[in-house]
Amino acid sequence: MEESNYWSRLNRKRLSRRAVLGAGATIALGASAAAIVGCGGGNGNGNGGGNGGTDGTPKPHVYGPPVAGGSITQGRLLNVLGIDPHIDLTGLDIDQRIYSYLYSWKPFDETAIFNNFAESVEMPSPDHTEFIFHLRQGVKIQPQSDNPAKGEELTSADVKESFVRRGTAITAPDKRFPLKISGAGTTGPQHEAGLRAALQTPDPYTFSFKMTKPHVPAFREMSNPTWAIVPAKVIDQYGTFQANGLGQKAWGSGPYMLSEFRGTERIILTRHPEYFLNPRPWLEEIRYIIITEPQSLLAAFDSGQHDINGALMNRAQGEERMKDPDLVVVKAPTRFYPVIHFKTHPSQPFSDIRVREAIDIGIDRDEIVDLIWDGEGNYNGPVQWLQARFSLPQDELRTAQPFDPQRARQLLSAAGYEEGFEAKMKIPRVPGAPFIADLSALLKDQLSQIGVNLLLDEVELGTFIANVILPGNFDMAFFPNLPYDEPDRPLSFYHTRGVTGVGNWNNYSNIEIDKLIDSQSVDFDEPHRIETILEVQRMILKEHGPQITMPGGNFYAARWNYVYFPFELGVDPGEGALKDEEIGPEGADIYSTEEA
Amino acid sequence: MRDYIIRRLLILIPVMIGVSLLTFALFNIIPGDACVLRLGFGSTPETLHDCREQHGLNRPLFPITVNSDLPVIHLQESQYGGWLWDIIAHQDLGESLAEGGARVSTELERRLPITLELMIVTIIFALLLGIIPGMVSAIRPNTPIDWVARVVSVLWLSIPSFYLAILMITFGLLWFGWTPPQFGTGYVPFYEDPWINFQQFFFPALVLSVGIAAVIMRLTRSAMLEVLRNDYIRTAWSKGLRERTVVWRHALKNALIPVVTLIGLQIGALIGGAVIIESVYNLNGVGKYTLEAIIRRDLFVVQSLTLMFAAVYVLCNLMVDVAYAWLDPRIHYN
Repeated sequence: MEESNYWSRLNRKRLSRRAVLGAGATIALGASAAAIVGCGGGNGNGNGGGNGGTDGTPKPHVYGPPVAGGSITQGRLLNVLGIDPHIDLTGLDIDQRIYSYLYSWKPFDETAIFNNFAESVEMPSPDHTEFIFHLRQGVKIQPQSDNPAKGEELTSADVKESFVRRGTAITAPDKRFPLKISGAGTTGPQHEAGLRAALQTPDPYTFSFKMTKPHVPAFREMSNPTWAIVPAKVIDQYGTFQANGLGQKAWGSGPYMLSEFRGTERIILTRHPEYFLNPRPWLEEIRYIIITEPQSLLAAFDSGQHDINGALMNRAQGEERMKDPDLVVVKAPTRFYPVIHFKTHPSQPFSDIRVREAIDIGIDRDEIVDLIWDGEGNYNGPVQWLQARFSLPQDELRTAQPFDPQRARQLLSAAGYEEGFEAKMKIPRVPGAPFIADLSALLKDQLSQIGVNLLLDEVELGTFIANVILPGNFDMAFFPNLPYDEPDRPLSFYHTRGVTGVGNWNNYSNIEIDKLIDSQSVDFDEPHRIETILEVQRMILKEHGPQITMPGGNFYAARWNYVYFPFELGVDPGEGALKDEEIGPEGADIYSTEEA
Repeated sequence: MRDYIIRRLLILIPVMIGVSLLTFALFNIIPGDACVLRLGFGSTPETLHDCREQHGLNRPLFPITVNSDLPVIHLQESQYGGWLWDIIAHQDLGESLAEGGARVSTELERRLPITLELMIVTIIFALLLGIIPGMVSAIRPNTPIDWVARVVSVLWLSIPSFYLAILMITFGLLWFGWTPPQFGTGYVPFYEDPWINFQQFFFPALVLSVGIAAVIMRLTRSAMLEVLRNDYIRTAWSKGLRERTVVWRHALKNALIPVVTLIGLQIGALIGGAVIIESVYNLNGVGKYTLEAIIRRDLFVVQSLTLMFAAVYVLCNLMVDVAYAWLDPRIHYN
């Protein structure tokens, strides 16, 4: 049964060590790659394992007390095209260290952590549509000389202006949540007016609003890095698309200040001296060096030019570095899960469920785990396995996605394709992600065993999005879906309205599935919601489309062991380390002992 | 000569307009634009329209359109016309559609010195590695030194530069635990720290130069062999001149004419190679900027860079033509 208040139990929770550590491994690539296609963009937190070998027993790593001062250099694979947190998705991991947020989020437990600008929240409305945030006093805005709000206190007015901007900016991602606040059907002047009217600031330390309709993902959504709190005066002066505006500069209230921004070369953050958690942040400077060639990036780390490696390594590369006692290697699950899209138009063979099923069971997922993910992988359903409570159990997924080439051939015969058929599968060319081409080649090989001759058509990423996926211009398409922290988002791919809300690019429609997807998005009875989500996934699996999912594996990331995170992967952090309840917002607790 | 140079410079104007028109047309034929990429899966017809409106991508492409059989001129209101007008009237190359409105001219100011230095050092390396072995190979034909030079040139020609670059980085790291300092720091100009600057450019330029050097070597060898068979060389020998004088003063200068032509033509290959090598070695020059701009459909950046490359290419070829006259007094441009 539903609790008296769905979210009340979440407010008391604190950030766990395990959940946060994975951020270092996955956040940069997760946020950046999400930005390439303008979707996803979760906070990047992941779980994983660490040094100590492949047996999953991490070596104890003794942490001393934090050390103030020093600098670290972090490698980065993908360019940061802009630093505007409401608009640009490529720099969200950096935005999190510059701006304040209402609260943080622990994705695997779906819990809120009130360690940032909001100290607490009330949700008095029985239909879970009303939020009242009590804000922290004394949170100072950064003191840059060109900051129009220099040294002032962050207030509810800043939150309101940030919400309006994030909710209305043309290029801002997913607007389903702000549309539920404004009550407008679509973006435009009416939406902005509705948003302004709904967002209330009764005093400088209280911020509230009431949505016009319930929306379960709302509470999760507000902790997304795109909902950064930018001072109202900064928005007023620099908020439009302009040179030296918020796309290239930043004036926040978070632990670090932007000192230099060259999004294709380097980004330098310096310590915010009046941060509310003073003496944190510990570091004087964080430097990001962007190298878009993965081998060069890894070489720069290995030769000691970088303190934190930004390249994601495969298992062999990760395990090789695990042997080095001077390195801390983090294993984190890739949050990209590969999927095949089918066009289910009546003129296509894939409108026949027998053809889709033949392809689904003609794929040997265990071989994918072995060859692509180096033996470390998990099956995925429509909701990725990482979203533990919302995803189907592995056993069930393995049963629902068997490898049965004989039956696949029978199904194709029954569908009129005794001799098999030829199908063109479009794939994107993504720099730094060779597994896309590798997996496509493996799929071609596997499906040839059942008589399906895949013609691989590799398309440059921009063209793939613009000319293949969005207009639904494909028979089959292969794409790694992006990290989502809320099951509502991946499920919307299977809805008649699609993920964009204006239509399903697979030309797929199933009213029963639509009903279940709609019902879970307004269902605050969590056990019931989970049941619905599991049920709809089972229905989708029986449909064998319009997307079929494949297993995901792990990536490895590394840092030199003088760079201390306040938490380690499932390892006792040692005496003197921060306790869970003391951990601050992203970046505030990192320190280095190299110079100490 | 002066008239010839002026004529060639005037020809540059229609060439550049033609190149920019072609680039603009081609760029608009390929699907997708900066807004599609920025919005990604969040694209809806409304948001795409609004985004394009904000960035001026909804304006007519070209200054002249035909409406009801009548040509309509909207010079500055069109995308192409507005961009060209800003260049002519305000010397403004426009702004990036993707990088938070960064000015193209500001980016070029920073990046151009990197690419120029890379190209200059590459050409120096290519000349050193190409002309001298080619010359030696020609004056000692069918000797072990000639065989080695010929084999090496084929080897250099057959290794792709990006692969060689990755090999150099990998083995540099494995054997010496060293990678070029460009990885960890930004560009360090020569006048700030010559040693760091040398380390940053030595390997990229070397990698980029070997392919060109191989071609130069083979061309120098064949040109030298031909020149060495001429009567005037035989005369020089019969006068009892020293080998050094015959080769350097009489033979090499004439043998270099086709090599100079080749260098002019290789400028295009160098620009193309710079795109790859700058990415591998993380040299944040114009080549890397071009690649990134193309990937994110940054129209005005690509336009401006293409225009610049066209100008560089034409000017380099003009310099080659001028160099002919210097190398061979028989050549006149009247």
